Amino acid sequence: MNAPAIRQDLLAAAVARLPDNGLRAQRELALARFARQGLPGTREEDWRYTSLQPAVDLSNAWLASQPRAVLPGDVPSDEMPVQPAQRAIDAQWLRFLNGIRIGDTLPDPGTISIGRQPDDDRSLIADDGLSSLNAALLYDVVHIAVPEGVTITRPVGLLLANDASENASVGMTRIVFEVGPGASLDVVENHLSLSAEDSFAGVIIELRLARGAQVRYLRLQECGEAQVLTGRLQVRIGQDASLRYTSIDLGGALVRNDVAIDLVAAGSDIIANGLYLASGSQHIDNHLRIDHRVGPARSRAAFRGILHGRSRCVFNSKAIVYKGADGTDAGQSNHNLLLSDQAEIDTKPELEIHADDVKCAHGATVGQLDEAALFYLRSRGIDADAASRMLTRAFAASVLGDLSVAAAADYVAGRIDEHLDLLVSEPS
Amino acid sequence: MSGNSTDIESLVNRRYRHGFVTDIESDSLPPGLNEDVILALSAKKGEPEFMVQWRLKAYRHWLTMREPAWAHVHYPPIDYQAISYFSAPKSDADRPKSLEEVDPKLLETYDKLGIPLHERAKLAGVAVDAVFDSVSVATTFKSKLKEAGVIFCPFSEAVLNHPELVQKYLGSVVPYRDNFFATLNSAVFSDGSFVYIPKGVRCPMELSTYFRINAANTGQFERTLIIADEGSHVSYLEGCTAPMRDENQLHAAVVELVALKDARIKYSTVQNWYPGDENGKGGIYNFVTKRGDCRGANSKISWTQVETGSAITWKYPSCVLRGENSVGEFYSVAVANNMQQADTGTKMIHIGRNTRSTIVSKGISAGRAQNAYRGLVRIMPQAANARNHTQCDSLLLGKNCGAHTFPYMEIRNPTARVEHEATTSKISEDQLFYCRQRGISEEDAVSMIVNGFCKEVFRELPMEFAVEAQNLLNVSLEGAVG
Repeated sequence: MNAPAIRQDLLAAAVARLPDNGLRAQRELALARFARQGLPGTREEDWRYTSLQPAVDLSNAWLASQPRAVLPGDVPSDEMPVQPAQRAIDAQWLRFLNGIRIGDTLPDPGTISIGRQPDDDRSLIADDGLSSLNAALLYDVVHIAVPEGVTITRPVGLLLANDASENASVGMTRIVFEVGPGASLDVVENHLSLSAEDSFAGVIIELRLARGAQVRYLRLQECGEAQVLTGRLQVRIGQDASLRYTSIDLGGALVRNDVAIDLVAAGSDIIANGLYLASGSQHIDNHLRIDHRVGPARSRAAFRGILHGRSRCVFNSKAIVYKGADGTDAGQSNHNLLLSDQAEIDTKPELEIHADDVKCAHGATVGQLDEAALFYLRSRGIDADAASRMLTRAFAASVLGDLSVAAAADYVAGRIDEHLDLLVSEPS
Repeated sequence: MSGNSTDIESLVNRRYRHGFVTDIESDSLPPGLNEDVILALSAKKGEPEFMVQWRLKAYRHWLTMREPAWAHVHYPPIDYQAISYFSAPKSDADRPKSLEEVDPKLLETYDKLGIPLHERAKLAGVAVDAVFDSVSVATTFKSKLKEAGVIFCPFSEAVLNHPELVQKYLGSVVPYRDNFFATLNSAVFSDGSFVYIPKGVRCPMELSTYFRINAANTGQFERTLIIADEGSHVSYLEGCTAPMRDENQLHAAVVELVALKDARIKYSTVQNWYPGDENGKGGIYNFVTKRGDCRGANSKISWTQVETGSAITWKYPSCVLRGENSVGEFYSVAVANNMQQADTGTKMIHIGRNTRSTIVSKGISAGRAQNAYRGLVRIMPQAANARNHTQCDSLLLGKNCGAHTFPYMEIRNPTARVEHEATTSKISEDQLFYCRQRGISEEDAVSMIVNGFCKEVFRELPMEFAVEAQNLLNVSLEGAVG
């Protein structure tokens, strides 16, 4: 079986029901592309460990129910209860429910501008099926711009909530950040599920960093146990710009996170790190791709995973150094802790190098808690549970220590601790 | 660094040393592939019924398969109907019984290759089963091996004389449905080597075969099967060179190794087939399936390869670690210069408990070559305490070449320990400067540094091979730096 199929006739009908708010032409184009592309199947190299079948099944069931297009007016802005991250992290929160922005407060109206994506922006149209599906079913694109030289001190928070309780089990989100030359911005992206029903969310975020821009970006995924989530962060890095990215996966049933960083000018500096904690039958797939088109530039990627239960995690990083991108310095690492007999990790740190004046290295390890360290702790009177909790926490700590958005550090540390406690106390 | 660029150019442009064609009449089948060709091929060899059926089964399955496209290599489509599937030196019926009877022209060929067959066989204690095109023409040291009970003979002889062993083990490691090229090989394989080491026997000498592609437009489909019975040891050496030629030649070999309880197999390869000229014209397509099965407890299979030749190398010598405590090793140096493309690596499949594997891969790219390491480490759920360490390093010599790493790790057991590390770099200016400052020429310095880079692998080779490998490396690379 190759590409699992979404019913094109039903999809076309759903696209036709969306209001004509300037995006219709692009939606139709995306629909036509999707008819050719379909969703990727497990015979495709990038999807060999992750099947999108659950997303297809959810989409087909949802499309068959002939959903009416949800309009912003349908969603009262006070309907959504205040979420833990909102309370804990001091940020200018923008709320999205099933991909539609709710509420009208404008954070820092003088400095950040929020608007609709210009209709002539063709970046919606991409070469992959998931992007086309997203574009076809999109209600709107939110465009966030930070002007030249402005430093935004309070992080911008994106609360991406999914609520499948009223048959709204599929939602697509698209957000574009335009960060001007020399500007500086912190972003917290928080995914969560408001209902326990099965649902499928597709999120695409674009981040364009102009010359000398600095962005610190935190993705914190705390979805419910029935959530299928495909996320894509597409980053374009200008000259001397820098990005600090952290991704934390705690929830979700089937999660795929694609991060693609395109270094188009010299002097950029990227640090991307991540942590995924999985238990039960969770499936979490992180794909990271860094295109070094021009040198000198530096990128560092470090992801860690802790797996329990029957969970399966996938990690794939790919650094591509283009011909002539001399002075590239790329490093990648992936370390995994397997805590149960039935968990599985599939990891592949790839390098593709077409230039010679480069320094590239990658490393990957899979193992379990160190028996000697456990014994040492136990010999000092620490019980087995506490000892393994201590060691798993230490394993996760390196990601926490390097968290991209400092304002979120306490909240993230607390949430990770809660999850580790659950993980360690769960019978293996 | 551009001071001695003319030397460098002259070295880079050095013609392929082993490029010449020996003019011997060949007894070939007309080009093309269908069931009749397979029947004719089988009949020429007088094969028993089981072999014919096996070939036909493979051929019919091959018709349903598509050529793989996932490797990091590019080549024009191969016309499988334009290949002649059998080519044997004439006078097959009265094959020489000893070296004296061998066609002097053949011996001359070996001389040109720098393989003084008889001398070397005596001096180094190496038994050589030389494959000239598809039929083995000289086998030495047979009696000594016979004394030890070792069977070392051309594959076609084994089919006739030891059908029970062939039937039992053929296709048990690489099944006829395995992959496009292995299936093609199963249908049309011409000849190769067969080795059986009986229980408890340590093979009294290194076994060695020289493959050589000679007749134009003849695909070579070698099939090698090595069985090491309980407690036995064997070290097998394989080395290849080929004459210069402008048309691409296909080589799709299959090597199967079976190690039973406590057995050890060491398989070493030096591959130096014609890589094509600096514009990528000509050269061998080397699509090889090599796999070892550590079937018994405490068995060990070790692959060592030095790959300097071929226009395209597509080769992943693998180990299936089935037996408890079994060990798999893979040591590789892959050199790609000019327009060469190499996509090589290994698979370590851990099934048994306490299985261990080591992978050391050194890739060197120069000119406009592409060199990829592609490896898989899979730890199955039942493989408790499995251990793997992988190291793959790439060295880039020049601005237009590529070095790629695709390491797959699939881990399904929590007691596994798997480590992978990889680096990519060029020869550092500091190292070069240090050597130059001590009066070492740039050529020698590069050669020293590259040899040091590969040392971990070379020291795994049998001694005479290590020397050959080092020379090869120097020829392939000297002057590739500028």
